[in-house]
Amino acid sequence: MAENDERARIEEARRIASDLLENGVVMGVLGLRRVESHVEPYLFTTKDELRDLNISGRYAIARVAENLLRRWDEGALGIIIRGCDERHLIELSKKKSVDLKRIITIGLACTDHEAKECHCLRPYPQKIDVGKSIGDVDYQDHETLARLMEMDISERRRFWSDIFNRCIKCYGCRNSCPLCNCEDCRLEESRWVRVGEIPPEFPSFHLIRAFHMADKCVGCGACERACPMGIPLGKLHQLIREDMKRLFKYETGLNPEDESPLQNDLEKNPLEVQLDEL
Amino acid sequence: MNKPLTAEAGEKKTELEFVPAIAVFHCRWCLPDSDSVRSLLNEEVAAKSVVIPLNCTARMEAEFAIKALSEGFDGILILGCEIGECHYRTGNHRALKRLLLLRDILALVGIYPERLGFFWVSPFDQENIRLTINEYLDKLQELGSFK
Ligand code: SF4
Ligand code: SF4
Repeated sequence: MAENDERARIEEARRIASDLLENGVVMGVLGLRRVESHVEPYLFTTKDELRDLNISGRYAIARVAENLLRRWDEGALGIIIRGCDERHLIELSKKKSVDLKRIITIGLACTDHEAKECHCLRPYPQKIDVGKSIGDVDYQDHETLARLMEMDISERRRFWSDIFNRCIKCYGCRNSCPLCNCEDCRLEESRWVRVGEIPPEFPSFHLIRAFHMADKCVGCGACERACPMGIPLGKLHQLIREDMKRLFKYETGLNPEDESPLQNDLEKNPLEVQLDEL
Repeated sequence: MNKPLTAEAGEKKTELEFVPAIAVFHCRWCLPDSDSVRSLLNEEVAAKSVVIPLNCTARMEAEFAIKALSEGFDGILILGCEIGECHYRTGNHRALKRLLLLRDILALVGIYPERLGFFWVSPFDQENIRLTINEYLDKLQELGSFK
């Protein structure tokens, strides 16, 4: 049954992609294809090539779209996306580095199983073409997230300082993230993070990145998947996204017109919390 | 950094009483003079602490606080103008949001959010500033060393 579902999903994706190609509305359709044991991004330009299409892999594909569009002076790009990829694209458009008008999406709703694997709270794009949305997921429904929140403060300190101590400063977390792309990175400046020292001192390296990403991160989990040391960065970011919602009623990746509350004054974005504890 | 201070002659303090080291960042519009800010701290704390003027609390980046913790400070204290009184109109609005978020992120990884103290003060009420700082220091004392 599950296998049939998967087959139906991929057939549907293929059909929509090849329609787009046939009608000539896009220069190509960006998606994933399987190569040996892994998936890679691929620009499908003929119907035949779609044989190799893969829709079960995870890959933060927005950055590839960004590069392609930059390279082409004009023309539209088709792209097969999950909810997180759509949010990446929307965040990139806020930075003016992707023009959404040049993108035609084929939206993929993640399966229950996929959403669980990613600890995703919003496992669907706004426009769904393939599959059926399972809807929003409460963070408490993800066992690990719930457990992290249940820890008391000293348990958390132990947990995170131990786990951050595994870090070998490979910068995989930063490099894998389509939205973590400042030209000058604070994590490479000796003023903020000691150079040539591993593990990095607690909490500099990880919290500087966490804070910088707080109003951009879309919760895709690419950083966590990239980390060779198994540091659950994606889960940390999911929880920070919950904080952004609680403090500012703000969620990234939903509307290209939204502005980060951190950039605005209190009149434009009032706080959602009471300040009497200050 | 947090070696226990030896009691000075004549003082009744126990040898092991914890004295926090703090990094103070203050807006120079409401509190123009770092030396007078320093004089609001008790002497032992002042001896281990740094006091840094900012042109506005909006200059206060999360890194400043995070790095201070990494470098062994036990707390970060930010003093700025009351909301509505900012020289740049809304600089402290931005600081406030950033610091609230940072507090939450500290708590997520198990750092007591109270280590990050930020207070919007009136330059006309020095007594209140002193009280606020003392309360903050009492809390740090309770929490103990960060490292
Ligand atoms: S989850 Fe990680 S990789 Fe994904 S957007 Fe957030 S910080 Fe970037
Ligand atoms: S990917 Fe993991 S090991 Fe590499 S720098 Fe990031 S946290 Fe450290």
